[in-house]
Amino acid sequence: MTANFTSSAQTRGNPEERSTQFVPVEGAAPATDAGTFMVAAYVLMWLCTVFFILITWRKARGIQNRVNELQKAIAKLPQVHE
Amino acid sequence: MTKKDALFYGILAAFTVALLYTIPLIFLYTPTAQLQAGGLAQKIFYFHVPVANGIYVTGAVCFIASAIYLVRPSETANAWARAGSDCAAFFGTLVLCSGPLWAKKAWGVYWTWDPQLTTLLLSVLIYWAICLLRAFAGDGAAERRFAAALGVMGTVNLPIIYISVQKWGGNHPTVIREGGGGMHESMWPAFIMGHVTMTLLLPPLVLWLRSRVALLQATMEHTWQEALTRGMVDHWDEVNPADEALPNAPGNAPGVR
Repeated sequence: MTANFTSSAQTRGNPEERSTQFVPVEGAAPATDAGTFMVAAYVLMWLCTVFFILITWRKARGIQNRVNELQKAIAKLPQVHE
Repeated sequence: MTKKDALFYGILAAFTVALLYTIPLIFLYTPTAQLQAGGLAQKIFYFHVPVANGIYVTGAVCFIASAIYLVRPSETANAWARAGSDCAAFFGTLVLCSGPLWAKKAWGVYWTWDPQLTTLLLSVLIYWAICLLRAFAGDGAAERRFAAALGVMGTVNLPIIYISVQKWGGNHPTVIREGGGGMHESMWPAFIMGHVTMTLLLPPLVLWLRSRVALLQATMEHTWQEALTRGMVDHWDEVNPADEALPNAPGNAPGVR
């Protein structure tokens, strides 16, 4: 148990030993390929577009319904006053 | 269905068909560009540039409607100015999301303070500022005039974005502009279809929807004023025997602003 704790502490390192700069490594494998970036960009663009159209459409329909409700209620007002 | 509704559904159908045609055209039939341009990630270009041009279209609508509102205020001019700034912020956000993903592969970084990127960011921030102003500062005459003035100012920056590449250089590609090397002929169909979808069809679609929302909000405001003038709140139980809740006042209704 003690050995495990020691080992874990050693891999984390002391704050004084942490990186103070980043330098490029020659010939390192890329973390993600170009296809991932392309798919991410297209998914993001299309999802945003569809979401924007749908949310605006729903908002317009919601306000239209409330206006209709209100106009119906107003139409009943003269009868009440009579 | 009115003529306007028919036109809207026509554009929506054309947009859907164009989008469904453009996607396989880009992914399956357009060749991959050289590695220095981003390789496979260069295909982002076929939507990135048309969406960027969408900012010019929606920004122009915002500019014209805002200028008209400043000279002769009307509900219609305000609605289109609002729609223009909302849509320009939307298109600007798409460009700022798609560009860095391509830049990471082509340049090795997500962002650089290139003149064109910086001026674009500035414009998008102005359009977002207009959206926030309209959303949170109320809808009075002063707020509308201030938003319209910002709309004019924001759009004045758009030509600067375009000419910044020629004037100040930077990393941004100039492939199809003056001094650029052009594209291979096999890449043009995807580029043209990208423009048909995202520059010609999408801006009218979202502009029409957003202006409709703004006009309906104004109608809601006027209808509510009429209801208050005629004492509807006092007589609500009499006009509404079904015991439904009182329709929300414009300022209190969630999602109205």
